[in-house]
Amino acid sequence: MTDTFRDTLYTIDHSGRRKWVYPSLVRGRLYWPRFVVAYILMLVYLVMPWIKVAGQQAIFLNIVNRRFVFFGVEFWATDTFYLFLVLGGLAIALFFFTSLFGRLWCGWACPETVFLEFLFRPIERAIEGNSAQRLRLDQQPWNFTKIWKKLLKHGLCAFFAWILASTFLAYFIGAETLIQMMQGSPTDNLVPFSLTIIFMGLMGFQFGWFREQFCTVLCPYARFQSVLMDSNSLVVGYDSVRGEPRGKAKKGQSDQELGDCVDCGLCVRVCPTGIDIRNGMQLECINCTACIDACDSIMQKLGRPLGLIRYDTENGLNGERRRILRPRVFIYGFILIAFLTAFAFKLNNRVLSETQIIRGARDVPYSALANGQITNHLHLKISNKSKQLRHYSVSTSEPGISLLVPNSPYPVEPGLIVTTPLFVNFDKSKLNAGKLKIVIKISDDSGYSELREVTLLGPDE
Amino acid sequence: MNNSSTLSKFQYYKWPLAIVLFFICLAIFHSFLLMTAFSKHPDAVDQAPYEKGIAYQQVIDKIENAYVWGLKTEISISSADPDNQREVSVNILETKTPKLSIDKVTIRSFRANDSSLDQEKELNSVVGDYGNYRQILNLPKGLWIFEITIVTPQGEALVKKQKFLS
Repeated sequence: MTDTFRDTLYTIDHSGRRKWVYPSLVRGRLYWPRFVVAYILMLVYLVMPWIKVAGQQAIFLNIVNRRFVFFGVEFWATDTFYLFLVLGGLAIALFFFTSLFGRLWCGWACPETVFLEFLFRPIERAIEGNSAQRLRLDQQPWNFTKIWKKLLKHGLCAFFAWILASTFLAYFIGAETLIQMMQGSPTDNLVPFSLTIIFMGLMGFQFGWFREQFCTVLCPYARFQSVLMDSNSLVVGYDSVRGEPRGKAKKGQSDQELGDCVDCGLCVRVCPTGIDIRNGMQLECINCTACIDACDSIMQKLGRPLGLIRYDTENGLNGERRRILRPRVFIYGFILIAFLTAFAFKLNNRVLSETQIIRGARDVPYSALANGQITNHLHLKISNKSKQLRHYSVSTSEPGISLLVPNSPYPVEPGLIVTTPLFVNFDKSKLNAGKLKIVIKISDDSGYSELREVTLLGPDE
Repeated sequence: MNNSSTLSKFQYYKWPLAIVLFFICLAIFHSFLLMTAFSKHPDAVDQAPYEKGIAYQQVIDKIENAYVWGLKTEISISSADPDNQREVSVNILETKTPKLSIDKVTIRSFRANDSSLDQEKELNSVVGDYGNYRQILNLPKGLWIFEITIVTPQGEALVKKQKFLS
């Protein structure tokens, strides 16, 4: 085996030009589970904006109003701790699953793989034919057949890109709002319309042209996966112990002298990133398992055991002991459980009222009343994150202090943030060096109550 | 009634229609740009960008070699005879020890906007004088650019010089 493959990317030729990949299709025992998973994921992506949970879109990322709904639970922009727990949990989950299962995400669930291999490539295959026919079509000069095939392919891909782009937009502006917008003129909603075009353009670029280059030169996950994996992580690998020396037996040569690999090259021809898996673990490999199915189909025909290329650990491929439970699995697993527990605990004890007492920057520090009392003009900011109308009351246990709000209890509509004036009146005699600290209790009719310490100001006499 | 139904359907498809129209406009616009480019600027599209890029990188590497090896070159040119023949003398000084083993030195001379007198020749080494190379070149008066390529077992180095010849 030579190491020349390390000198260059598979998809770039000696002059630096891109080598277009025309992967063949092999339907084997791993293709169908991937097919089912991919279409379930596509279905989930497409229907999620149309599903309602507790009267709201199941997943609604309302960036304009800074409200984010997940299955009936609404998060506000101020709920950053939840965001931290979710993002932290996702990052650790990625670490955990990568250390155990390698690039399972890339091969089975990444939108790049799902949409390209199970939506756009099948369209291409249906119109332009198998890999050899596609190669011939691309190499032949422009003629009527080539033009209509290319037009039909790109037209169909653009249609599906429009569906995907609109669905993507529906997550952010709401499915029903989007339908209403689509019935009007594009100039009435120029930004969403332009975003649809931009998303379509990006998808056209990605799935029509850039394709595997995204995985090999752009995807950050592909870059740092090597530090998340070790020789006991699951990978798609070639059993070189069994396969080498590769080749077909020549006249007079015994089969015993050769390994199981007959060097048919099918594993290379089916690879969507154009690599040769027999060169070992490579950054470009997205673990799509196409080479496993390809090799198994050949092994089956030759009557040899399957699994020359298989899901295994590096140690397993080298004939060494496989260790699934390693320190990193426990560490990642423990941190993941901690994140999940913290998220569940926080969500379960979520307070749907949020209040603040603030002093306006332009307000006078205090005013003297006609009856000799001092008054402080404060502001009470109330966020009602619930779906019910709530009434808020303020009180203090300090004697001789009166709290005045426009309405008591103060009603706040569901999902609103309101700021109301709060006047605190008290006797001048209570001041100590011009200051008085009191505790104000804010409560609502659902059982929420919170104590806020406030420093009142007055004349320092 | 029929009109209202047609209008309602038409309204429903406004965005898809607009998207199709957008891409048609985009295709027409790009076709116009391409046609203009091909008719007015046929040289705007480079047929071999990668090959040219690689060749340019090789030139950069040679210039880099001259810098790394500490090569200094002096070029002196004699006055012209009636046939514009001049003796070009290149003296290669280097700061590096041990001295480079020089296999060959070539010179390419050319003038801006006039390729009719471009020439490339190998310089002859002066026996017993390390680094001194000479050659007779046809150099009429004017501004000349010289590219001196020094070939060594380690690779090639390139030095560029410019001289105004009266």
